[in-house]
Amino acid sequence: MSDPEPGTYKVAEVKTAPFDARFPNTNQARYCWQGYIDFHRCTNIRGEDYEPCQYFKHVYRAMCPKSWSDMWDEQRESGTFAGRV
Amino acid sequence: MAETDTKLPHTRGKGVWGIIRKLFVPHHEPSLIPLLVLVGGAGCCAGLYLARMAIKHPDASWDKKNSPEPWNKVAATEQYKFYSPNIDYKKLEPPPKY
Repeated sequence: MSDPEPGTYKVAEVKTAPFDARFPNTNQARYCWQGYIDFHRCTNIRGEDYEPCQYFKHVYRAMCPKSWSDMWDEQRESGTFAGRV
Repeated sequence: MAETDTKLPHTRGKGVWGIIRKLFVPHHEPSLIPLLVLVGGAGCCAGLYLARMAIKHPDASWDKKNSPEPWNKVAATEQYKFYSPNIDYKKLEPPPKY
């Protein structure tokens, strides 16, 4: 990355998950859940390096509280995860 | 007192039952008709909204077996909300398929 000119600074471009018509209301918990499920289904079917899976990763990283995704990661490792991945 | 008032066309309009009869039989008390129309209309609107929400809401599922994730059946450009000032649903793109 080129250094910014003296006296200026660069702002990182940060985007959040795009609006999804399936979840139009304020409560976005289901969007978080669906993103997490879709990412892991996608990587289980297509492998870790499949590019379109990263879309779902960005969605669940943006939408889910970290405590939820950490809890689900632990559940997946111990085999007690409730979703179908 | 009742004797000096003009006589009602019927004699059974007494007490609470008289009021009830006047509410549910509009031609006994025509001045109550606008009230019945407006309140009935509002009730119907509320019922229709409830029915719309039960049938068309993305999260509404009545059949566990055939429709376990009903929100996934919503098209990417389908608008459920009545008024959406800042989101143009026609320009939304669906998430990638895998």
